[in-house]
Amino acid sequence: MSVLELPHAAARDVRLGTVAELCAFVDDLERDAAGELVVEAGEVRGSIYIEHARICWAAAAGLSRRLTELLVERAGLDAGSMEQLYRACRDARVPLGEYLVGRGVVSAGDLRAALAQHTVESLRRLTGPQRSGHFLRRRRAGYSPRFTFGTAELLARSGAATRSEAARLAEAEMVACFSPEGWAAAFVRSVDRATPEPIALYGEAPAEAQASSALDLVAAFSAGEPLVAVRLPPERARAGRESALAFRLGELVIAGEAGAHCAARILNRRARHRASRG
Amino acid sequence: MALEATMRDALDARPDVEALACMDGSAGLLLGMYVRGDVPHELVELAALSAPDLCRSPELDDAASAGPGSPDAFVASDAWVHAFARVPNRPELVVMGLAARGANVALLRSWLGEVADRFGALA
Repeated sequence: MSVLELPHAAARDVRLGTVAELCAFVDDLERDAAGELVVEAGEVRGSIYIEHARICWAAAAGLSRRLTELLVERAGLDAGSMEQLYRACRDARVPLGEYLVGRGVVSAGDLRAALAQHTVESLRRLTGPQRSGHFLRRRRAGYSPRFTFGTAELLARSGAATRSEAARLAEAEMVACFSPEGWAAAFVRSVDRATPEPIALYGEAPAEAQASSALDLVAAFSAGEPLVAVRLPPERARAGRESALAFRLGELVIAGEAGAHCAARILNRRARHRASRG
Repeated sequence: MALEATMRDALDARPDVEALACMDGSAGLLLGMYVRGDVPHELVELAALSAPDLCRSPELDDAASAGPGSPDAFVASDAWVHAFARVPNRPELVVMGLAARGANVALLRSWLGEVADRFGALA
C-alpha cells in the first residue's frame, strides 16, 4: 500500500505534549483528511498516519521490532518460527499482520489488540513535553477501519497503560453492569492533571458523544459513591439503551447508556459488596 | 389545596418515604414539600430544585436544544435515594420522593410514578 504525498502540500506544526493533545488535533481535522504526522526531536523520531479522523499506524524509532514481539506473544510462537513466517510474508509482499491472520496463526482480534498496543506505545514514545510534529497531507490510502483506531479508544488505552489496575477494575465493572447494547466510559482524576483521564471504554459510543462534560461529571462526583440514572426520552432511547447513567466507584467515575435494568444491577452489586464486608 | 392533600395522602401511605416535593421547572418554583421526621428541610429543597436539571438528559447532538425531558430519574447517594418523576400532561412539573438508602428503589420509583399520575389527574 503506497502513501503518496500531495503536490505542494504545506506542512503544519502540531503540538504533541501529550497523547490527549495529539488526539485533539486528530479530532479537529476534517473528516476526510489524511496525512502523516512526522516527529523529529533528537533521538525521538517517528511518524503517525491519520485517515478519516482515525490513527492507522504509528511508528517510533526503537520500537520497530515491538509489533513482531507482540504478535509472537499472542501467537505463542518461538522466534525461529516467527522469522520463517516473516520471510514468507515478505516474499509474498503481504503485510505481516494480514499474513498471520490469513494463515490462522493469530485471530483478527489478537491482531487488532497487538496493533492497538503497539500504536499506543509508539504514541507515548512520540509525545512529551515541548514535543511537536509536522503534519503533511497525503492521499488517502484506504485503511480498513477494523484495524485502525479512533481517538477515544487510543486515549483510553493510553490512560490504561499508566493505570492498569484501575482500568481492569473499570472493565470488569462495565462488563458486569452494562448490557451488550450499551456503552460506557471510565475516568479517573489524578492530582497532577487538570482534566479527568479516560482509562477504559465499553461498547460503541455514539459518534456524536463528546467527552467535554467529563470534567463536570467527575467534579460533581467528588465524594461518596453516588449513582444517577435518568430514563431517556422515547425519541432518544433505543433497545438496550433506555437509560443514561453515571456513578462513582472508588476513584473511578463511569458514565454511559444502558438498558433499564443497569441501575438495578449496579445497586445490587453494591449491596452484595456491603453484605460481604459485613 | 388539592395538591397539598394529594401529597399528604401519598406520604401517609408510604412510611419508608421521608419526604415528597413537587417542583415547577419552568417557573423555578417549589410548589409543595412534605417532610417526615428529622430529615433536614434544606436537603429536600435542594433535591427538589435539582429535579428539572436531572430530568433533562443532555442532547448529544445539540447541547443548546431542550428536548421534552426524561420521564423519570433517580440518584442513589451514600445516605439517600432521591427518585424523580415527571407529571403526565404537565411536563413542567416534577415530583421528588426521598427515602433512606436501604429503601427498595424499584418500589419507590413505581410509587412515585403513581403519585405523578395523581398529580396529572388534578390538572
